[in-house]
Amino acid sequence: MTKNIRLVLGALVGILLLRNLYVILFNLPDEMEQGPVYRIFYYHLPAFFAAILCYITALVASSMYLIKKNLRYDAIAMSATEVGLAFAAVNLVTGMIWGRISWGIWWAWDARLTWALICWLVYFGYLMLRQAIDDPTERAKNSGCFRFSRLCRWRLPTKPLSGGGRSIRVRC
Amino acid sequence: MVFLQIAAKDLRSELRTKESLNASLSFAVVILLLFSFAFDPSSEAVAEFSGGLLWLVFAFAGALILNRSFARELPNDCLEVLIASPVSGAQLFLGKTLASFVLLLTIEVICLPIFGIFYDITWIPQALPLLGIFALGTWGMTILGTLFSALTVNLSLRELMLPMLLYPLMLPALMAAMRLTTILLAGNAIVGNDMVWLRLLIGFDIIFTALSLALVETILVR
Repeated sequence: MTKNIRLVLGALVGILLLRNLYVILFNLPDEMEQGPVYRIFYYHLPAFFAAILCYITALVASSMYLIKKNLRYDAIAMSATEVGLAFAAVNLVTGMIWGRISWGIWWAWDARLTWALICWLVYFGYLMLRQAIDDPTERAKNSGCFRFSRLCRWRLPTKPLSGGGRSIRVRC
Repeated sequence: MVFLQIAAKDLRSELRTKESLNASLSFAVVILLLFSFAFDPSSEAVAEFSGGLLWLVFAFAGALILNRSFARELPNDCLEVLIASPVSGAQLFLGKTLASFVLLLTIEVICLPIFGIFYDITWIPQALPLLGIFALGTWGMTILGTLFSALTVNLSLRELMLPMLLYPLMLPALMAAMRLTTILLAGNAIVGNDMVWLRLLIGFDIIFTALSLALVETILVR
């Protein structure tokens, strides 16, 4: 039953995706200042939100594992991180493509870009850590602690990063 | 005060062999030397990123010290015995952090004059504030590094895993320490807007000390 529901949901999402692609690529007019490149935001921004949602899910699941010691939470944390990492990669790459066309450079050391890269590296490290531990309980415990230690958010002045006066928010 | 005894034990054991002390000190000097090939060491621009250079050296040397923090106890199952002893995980962790802190700070204090000579940087007038920044930055690095050292102690790839986990996470402290060190090495005082970096560094130390002490029991329990 659950499998059938998943299949139906998957098919619905597939149809919606195709319809949206058609609308984005063929129906919508170009933006006045940016031209056709603005269409990348239809991927870039949702990918960011999906990645953040996955990271929050993984954080909650890891915290729940540390409290309840139920391996199901650990499995949720790992799956959410893997999916989040893929979305974060989409977010990074589309951001770079947009930057290349709009600013003329692939990587601008913009505060948000740098933050996104740091986050990506941190969560990649989480998966590497998991891969290096064989025992499931030890793996769940250690990776849960690692995940929990990135709870803190920092708002930093960006002078060393970009020279601008804006701030960068580093979620670790 | 058991943590002081654990710190003294670690320091005694390190001073007998001097393996990580010698390795990280020579590694730090080699990196200082290598940097001089990447750019002109006599140029005025060096002063603008001197703090960054210095803290990169400390971060690389620190990883070597921190890797040994818990790995030192692996032969003869000493770690198991320490965990089974009536010493609490927090005391054990604090002791190990303190020992690594002293070792790393020693390396930093030796590296600073060498850096001054190689890159023609005047640091003596700012020696005391610099020492304060070194202490704050090093505490942030060692508290987080010792936690991850406990986390990765049983991994075969621990030498690789520790820097990979540590560097991105300690970025706020590293950035603050780099910025503050650059300001001091340029002969300026930390005032006005620059105080935000000092507050950040202190905040990082407090938050991660509390967080590490809360997590370490969970990590050490087998």
